[in-house]
Order: sequence, then C-alpha cells, then structure tokens
Amino acid sequence: MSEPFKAAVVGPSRVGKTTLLTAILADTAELLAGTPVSVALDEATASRVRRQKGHLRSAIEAGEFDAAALGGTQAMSVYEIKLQADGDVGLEIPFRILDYPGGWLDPDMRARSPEAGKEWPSCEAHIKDSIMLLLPIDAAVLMEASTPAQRAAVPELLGLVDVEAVAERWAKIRNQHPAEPAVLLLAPLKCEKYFSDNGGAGQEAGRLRKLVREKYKEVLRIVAAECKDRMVHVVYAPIDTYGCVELMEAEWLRLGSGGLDFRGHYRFRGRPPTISVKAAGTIMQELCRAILDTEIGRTTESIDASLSAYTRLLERKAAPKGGFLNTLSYYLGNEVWENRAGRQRTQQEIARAQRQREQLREAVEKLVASPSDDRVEVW
Amino acid sequence: MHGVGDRINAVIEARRAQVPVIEREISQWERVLRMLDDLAATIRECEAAEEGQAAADALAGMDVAALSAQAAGALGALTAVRAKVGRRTVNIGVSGRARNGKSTLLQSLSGLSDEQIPTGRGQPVTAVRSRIHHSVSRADAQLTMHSEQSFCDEVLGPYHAVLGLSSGPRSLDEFAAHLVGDGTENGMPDESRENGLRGHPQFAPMLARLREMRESLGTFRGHLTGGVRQADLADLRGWVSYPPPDDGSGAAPDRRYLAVRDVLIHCPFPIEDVVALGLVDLPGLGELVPHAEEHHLAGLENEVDFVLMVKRPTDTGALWSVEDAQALELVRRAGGAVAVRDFMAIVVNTGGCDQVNIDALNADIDKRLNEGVQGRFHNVINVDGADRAEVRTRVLAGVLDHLATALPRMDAASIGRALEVGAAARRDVLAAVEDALARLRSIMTPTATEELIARAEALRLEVAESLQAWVDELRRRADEGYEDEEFHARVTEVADDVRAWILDGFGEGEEAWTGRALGQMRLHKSSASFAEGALNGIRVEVSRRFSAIDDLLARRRERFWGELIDALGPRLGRLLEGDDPQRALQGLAERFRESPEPCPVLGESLDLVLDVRLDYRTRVLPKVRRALEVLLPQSRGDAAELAAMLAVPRTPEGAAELFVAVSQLARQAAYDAGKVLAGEPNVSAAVLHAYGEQFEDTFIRSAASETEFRRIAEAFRDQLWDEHAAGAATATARVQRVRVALTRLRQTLRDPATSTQAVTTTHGTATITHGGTQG
Repeated sequence: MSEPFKAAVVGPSRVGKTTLLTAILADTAELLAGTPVSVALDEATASRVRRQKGHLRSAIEAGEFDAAALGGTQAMSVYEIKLQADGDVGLEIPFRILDYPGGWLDPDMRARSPEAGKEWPSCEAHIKDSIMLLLPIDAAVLMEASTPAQRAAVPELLGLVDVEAVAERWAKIRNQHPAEPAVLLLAPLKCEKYFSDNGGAGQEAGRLRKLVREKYKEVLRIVAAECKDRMVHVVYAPIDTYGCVELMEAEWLRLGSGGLDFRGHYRFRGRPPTISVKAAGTIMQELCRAILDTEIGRTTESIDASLSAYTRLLERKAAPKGGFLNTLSYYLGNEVWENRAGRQRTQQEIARAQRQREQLREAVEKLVASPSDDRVEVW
Repeated sequence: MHGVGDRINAVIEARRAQVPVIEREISQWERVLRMLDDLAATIRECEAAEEGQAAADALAGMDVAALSAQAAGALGALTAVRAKVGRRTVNIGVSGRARNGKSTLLQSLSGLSDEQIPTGRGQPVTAVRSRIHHSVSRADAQLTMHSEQSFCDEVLGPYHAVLGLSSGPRSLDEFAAHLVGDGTENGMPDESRENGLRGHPQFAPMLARLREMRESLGTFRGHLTGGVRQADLADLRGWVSYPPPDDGSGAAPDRRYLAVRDVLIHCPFPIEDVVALGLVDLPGLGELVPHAEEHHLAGLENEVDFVLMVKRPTDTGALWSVEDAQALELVRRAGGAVAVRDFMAIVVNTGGCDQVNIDALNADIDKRLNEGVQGRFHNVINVDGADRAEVRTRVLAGVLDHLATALPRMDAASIGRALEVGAAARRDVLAAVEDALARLRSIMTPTATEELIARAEALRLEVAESLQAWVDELRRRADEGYEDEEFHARVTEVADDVRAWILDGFGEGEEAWTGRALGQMRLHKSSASFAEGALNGIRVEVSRRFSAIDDLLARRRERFWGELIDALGPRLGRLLEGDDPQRALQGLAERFRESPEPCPVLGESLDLVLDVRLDYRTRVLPKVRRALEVLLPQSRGDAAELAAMLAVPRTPEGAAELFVAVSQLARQAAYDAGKVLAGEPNVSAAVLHAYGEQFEDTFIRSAASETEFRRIAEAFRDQLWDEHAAGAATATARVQRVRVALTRLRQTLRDPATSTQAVTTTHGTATITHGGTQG
C-alpha cells in the first residue's frame, strides 16, 4: 500500500466529523459526476459512513433528530478516502484523514490514556505530513451563546486550546517544508439555521463569519507566526452536512465543574426531509487544489529537481518512501502504474492505463476547477 | 493759712477740668479691652474650627492676652488718675500701724473726739475707718450700710477665700447655719481645714473673727439694709468701734460696726480757710484681715493726694522696721510718677515718748531713708499727735501749704505717667494689630462673585464626579461580560412559560388541537389554511407572552432614574422633591427652566433621560418579530418548502404530523425569541449607558453648563447651602470677622478725638493736649 495524501482533523467531539465525512463524499461525488472517477472508501470508513447514514435514516423516519445519538468519541479515527479512476488498472489518489483528540498533545493526557500513548507516534507522523489542517467548528455553539456565561463556555466547547496547540505544531512543520502545500480549512458545521441558500431562512452568515474570525483569531495568528517562510492557504467553508436539519432549541447544561455544556435540539425541514449537503465538497476540492498547484509549481519552477527525483524513482522502481513530493510524483506521474504493471505489459494495456491516468488527472482538474461554493471564502 | 484755701481750691478746679478728657481716654481703653476680648473669642473660634485655620495661623504670633493686660494696665492708670482729678476735695490719708497714734492724729487734724474716732489703750478700738471732710457748716456722719448680700460678698467671702474654706456663704442664713468651728456635725464641710488652721499665726485670728461675726450676728443683722443713714456725731462711736472687752454677762458683744460699709463725716476742721479738704483713715497695715495690703494700696492710689505716715517711737519701735519699710514701699508704689517727697511725710508721734526713742527714730530715718541728709527724700514731722494746736500748725498747715504748691506738678506727673502708659499700650497694640492685618492680607479671601463662582464650580465638580462614577457603572453593566442574573432568570421564566404553553398543545392540549386540526382540514379539504391560521395565532400569542418581560424593563428604567438622582450628588439632590424618581427629575427640570435666570440646557438634559424608552414594544418587539418569522410562511425564502411541511394528509396521522411540525416551529420561534431577550440586558444596558453618557456630557460638559451651574448656585443658594456656612465661604467669613475686629480696634486706637499725647503744666495746673492720629 502506498502512502496517501494526508489531512489532519482536530475539533471537539460531537461536532459531527463522521457526518462531515459523509457529506464530503456526497458532495465530491456530485462534483465528479460525469467523470470516470469516483470516490471510494476503505472498509472501516465505509462502515462508519453506513452506520451514520442508517442513524439519519432512522431519525427521518421517526421525525425526531437527536444529534447526540449520532455519536462522537474521544478516540482516534482514521478515514481513508480515495479518488479512483474507473477501470481495471486501479489508478487512484488516496487520502488519509486522521481525526484525533487534540488533548493528546498534552504529555500528561497521553500518559493517562493507553490508547493515546500507543497511537501518538503515528499521530505525530500524520500531523507532520498533513497538507491540510481541517478545523470543524460547531456553528451552533458559536451562534447560540447569548449570555456571558454561555459565551464564556464557548472556547472550552470548541476545544480552542487543543486546536491552537495542534495548529501551532502543524504550522511549525509546514514552515519547514515550504515547497509543500499548506491548507488551513475552517469549517463551521450545522450551519443550516444561519443561511438562506439551502432551504433555510437564516440571515446570519455575516455574524457567523465574524464570530469565527473572532474566536479563531489566535489560531490564525499562531499559524501566520509559525509560517514566516511560506504562505498558508486559509479557507473558510461553512458547511451544511445535512441541509434538512435546523436547530430548534438549545440547552446549556450546567456541568459539575461549573462550566456549561451545549446540547442542540434539531428539527427536520421539508416534508419529507431531503439531505442537501452544502459546501462540503470544498474540502476535497482544496485537497486536490493543493496537490495540483504544487505539482504545477514543481513542474515549472523546479523541473530539473523533479526530473532527477523522477529519475531516481524510476531507478529505484519502488513505492514512495513518504513525504508529500514523493507521493505526488508517485501518484500523478507514471511511476505508480509502471511499478504496478512491471515489465510484463502489453501495448494495449499501456495505452489503457495511460488513458485512465489522464482521466484521473482530468477529473482532479475538473474538481479543482469547479466553482467554489458561494459560502466559501479564502482568508 | 490765709490764701492756701484759695490756691487749693484753684488746683481742684483745674484738675477737674481734665475729667472729661480722662474719661474719654478711659472709655476708649474700655472699648479697646472689650474689642480685645472679642478678638480673643474670634481667634479661639477660628482655632476651634477647621475652616478658621488659615486665620488662626495668621494670628498665631499675636498674644492677645498680653495686649489685654497692657490695655488693662493703661486703663488702671487712667482710672486712678480719674479718681484723683475727679475729687472735690484734697485728701490727706493717715496711714500707720496699729497702736502708733493714727486715730489720735486724726482727732487732732479734724477736731473730732473719741466719740467719732475712738482711741484707747490696749486693744485696737477703731473698727470702721472714716473719711472726714472739712465743712464749716455741717457736723454729721453718713453711714453707708452693707446689705446682707454685700456683707456676704465683701466681708464673709474674702475671709472664706483666704482661709481656704469652701466658697463663702451665699446668704446670711447660710452663714448663720454654718456653725464655723464649734464642732457640731451639721454644716461642717470645712471641719478638717479648720482644724488645720488652729494655732496658725495668720489664719487662726481670722477664723476667730468669723466666729465672732456669727456669734454677734443678731447685733448687726438688722442694720444690713444697704441704705444710707445719718448719725449724730455724738452717737458715732457705737457704729465705728469694736465692742469693749467681755463684760461677763454672756450676751453677744455689740458688733454694729460690721454692718457699716462706709462712714463719711462732715465737720469743721480746726482751720480758718474754707478749703475742700478731706482726711482718710487708711486701712491699717499689719491687721489680720483679708487682703489688708491690697486694700491699703487701693486706698493710697485712689483716695488720697498726700499721706501722713504715723510712726510712734516706743521702746520696742524706735527704729525704722521692716514693716515700716514695707508700708513705705506701698506708698511709693501708689505715688507712681509723683516724687515721694511731694506725696508723703513721716509723722513721728512724739506724744508720751522718750526723747531718746524720738531721737533714735529720727536718726534711723535719716540714716536709712534720707542718706544721712535730713529731709532729703522724706519729710519728717515730729509732733505730739494729741497736741491739737501743734498738729494744726506743724502738720496741717504745712501739708496744705505744700499741696497748694506741689499738687499741680503732682497731678501733671500722675496724669502724664498714666498717659504714657496708655500711649505705650496703644503703640504696642497698634503694632500688633497692624502686623496681624498684614498677615491676614496674605490670605486670599474671595469676593462675593468669586465665592459664587467657586460654589458653582464646586457643585459642578461634585456632580461631575458622582455622575462619572454612575456612568462608569452603566458602562460596566453594558459590558459583554456583565452577568445580569436577574434579567436572565426572568427571561428563562418567561421562555419556560411559553415553551410549556406550546408543549401543552398551545393551551388546549395536543389531542384537542389535533382534533380541531383534523376537523378544519376536512372542512376546508386542505391543511394549509388551518396550518396558516395556527401559525398566525401562535405568533401573536408568543409575542404577547414575551411582553411579560416589561415589568423588569420598567424596573430597570426606574432604577436608572433612581441612580441618576443619587448621582446628582447630595447637594444638588436638595432640589429634588418627592420619592418618585421620575416625578422628582421632572420637577427638577421644571425648576431649572423656571428659575429666575433659566437653565434650559440642564433642563433639557433631564428631559432626555426622562424620555428613555426601555419597554418591550420599543426595545424588544422588533427583534422578537424577526425571531418569529419562522412562523410566517409568506415572508420566508423557503415558503414552498414550509408549505410542503404543513401539507399533511387529512387524516389523524396527518394532524399529528402537523402538530409536530407546528409545535417544532413554535418551539424554535420561542427559543429564538428567548435568545433575543437573553441578549437584551446588554442592549438595554448599552441604551441606558448611552443615555447616561449623553446626560453627563450635556449636564457637565456642554458649552452652557458652566453658566447654568452658576445660575443654579445663585438662584438656589439658600437651599443648596443652607448650613450656617461651609468650606471656603466659612473660611472667608472667619477671616473677615477677624479682620473686622482688628480694623475696628485699629480705628479705635487711632481715633484722634481721644488720642492724648502730652500733659503740660501751665500756671501751676495740669493741661492735657490732644494729638493727631497716630500711625
């Protein structure tokens, strides 16, 4: 198995990361419609997505939506997604998205959690290689806090301390690899109530943007400060993961620690409710844009370096050792296929594979070239 | 002695001409003393009050007590001079220790007998000293009697004081009840003291006197009339002499003399001249009565123009003794500026004395007093006091002749000395006053206008400070982080009430609601109209129910006004009337506008805060309406979608579905409206802060503020500063009082009408000349 492109997710539990993944799949599939490229999941991820869909379906049947029932854990999750060219050659671009509790950054916390201790090295390696840091944000927590006590609880509920710590670590490493892409994606979720472009009547897009800017100001500052030698592509993408669910009521529950916990109660919109994902495709779009931009840059700006790297790869005839540029060359160059096909290939096979590779590339280019959702902003 | 009488009478007339001038001087010094007393009191008040410290500090170096003492000295000197120049007689005092023949000499000088001026061997017999005036036409005595009170005050009081007993008896009855020293329990507050006096060389005899007075109270009490009685000279002895030694009858001795305060005898002296002459029996020295020396000196200073000091050279008294020297010293003091030789003569009473003693005394006097030259400083007359002819020629004629010549210069000296004392005192007091005034000038004392401005500014400052604190508090409440628990509790209460109403099937129960829904849907063959009607009704009801927050908003506005009243400060607050904050502020605005010089800007600034609107309809309803738009299908962009949601089958299931959809929309609307309200404390607080800040700005910092505060200070001065005086105003008033006191004092001291500079003698009489204003 080759090294996939990596993205790291850090955000509070119950923010709806699995739902987000489902939404990403749905939206990406829509963007790739009409191309011979599809989105595929690994077993575990597919199972998780199936489970989530099942829950949603049951909820729709029951007419009651309970976000809490859709889960959320403090455990680490790895989502494997790939863009796959149809056909028998099996050309693909794999992505691995790691979702892990931000608290693991704390050595004390790792010491207390056997799982954290065990998984941390791979987490660290993943963060190091991630071209994208995805920050899912619970928009309802931000938007529904109306009293000082509720507003005071927001940073904790958004896990801002952990987010800032992860962002710092990620940005530090990104700064050491200026030739590789770096995308910071702020993704408010559960935005249905605040927008009027997806079946709702909300008029609070501006307020949401303002609050995100306000609350994540420190994250943005840290990233800018750590990435002195390079640009970081910062994208703001408020996402409707369902599109048919709208916050009806919110409860602020007093915790034993004195803080407040947030629980939203949602209702379905429409009869019957129809899922209408919004702006989730941005994530895959941005991942692909990062890959493509970098490849173009690499080709035009350092063609000699890439040629020699390519040559080295050919000479070694081996899977990439890792590292973004190696992965990039491996998947978007001929190497992957050549390695797989070996020396025993027919002319016909070569031509077919070549075509599939082109198709995959075209599909990625199409994905990237698709107009961004109106909600999405580059900051 | 022909001609002496005329000369003396001329002297008397001349000196009497000075009386008005001296009296003016006296009156001036009396005024000065009173003013100094006032000044001292004013300074004491300054020292005692915080606002008077500036004045007190400025006058710290001024010793008013010393100045008063100096003024009193001047007054005393002038008073003595007035006594002298005011007399209608030339008085010769006869002084001398007991048993020296003083009474005998008086008899010889006056021609009176033992019946009027008792003499005797052994015990002293003269109990009351007389003044004897020469009169060719009268031979009588005037007895001025003590009243009971004057007897207590002037006779008993001094005895008690000197003996260290408790304060003297307040009445004669009290004296009678207080059995002094008889050992009874009753009325013996001073028993231990009296026991201590037993055998005391000075006090024991005085204590015995007191006992005698009490024992004989019955013999004189009836005469304590306070009046004047005439007595025949033949009957005088009983009034002026001590009783004879105890006759053994046991009856209380007759002590009528105790009732006599003063005796004035008129009788023809054995002289031919018609001369205004008086003899004064001066209080005896060495007698064991209270304050003997002071009485003697007072008599010398005030009553006599010349003193005959009688000394009888006996075997035991042939030398000029210490007591004689002390007596002479008193005479010298009384003479003051007058040469002692002019003022007195020593009469050596030779009657019945051995010549050797007479010679010894004369020799001793010459040696000790006259530096070995006879008559150098003191005239000495050797005469037998009982020999009337000799006394008349050698003593009386000589003294009168001397006085006819010497009196004018003696008077001039006395008056001159008194005026010098006065001038010195005037100089010193004036210098001190000028110095004090100069110091006071260094204290800035504001004018009335300055004071008004200062008051207005102080008021404005006070109000500005407390308004600032109030606005700061308003700002704090408007801060995002301010937790308005009362408000949130009330909002939660109202929102819970609305939610409960929704969950309760909009007040009618889910079953009834769905039943009604089904009926209506079937009736209209559509769910749309029922659903729309239901949403409309819910919208109105939710909005109405949230208006319950009005009570709290009203309380907030009341609190805002109440706090503003406090923030106007305690002084301006005096202009507010009534307990209702709104009315009080309205009244204040009205007063500002209606004041004699109107203060429209301050009035308007109050109008502004009175107009603050915080009610549900004005403040909250617009936002709540937006929150309720979820219940308003036609206004939403997703009208079609919402319509689809509400388009349910016309079946019980459809009705149940509709209930879920409608109640969920209602819950969301109620929740959103509650959220709007939850954010309202900040908004309301921001509104109140804005109003408060605007008020503060207008009230304190507008262009008209300074002027209008002055108008307020002027128009409402009495109400705003009703206390007697305060702060700077008090300080000013105190400085002003001290300054006025000093200025009046200076004016009095500079008054040319009473300022006397010099005394000259012209043709043998003293004349006082007036000087101009002294600087």
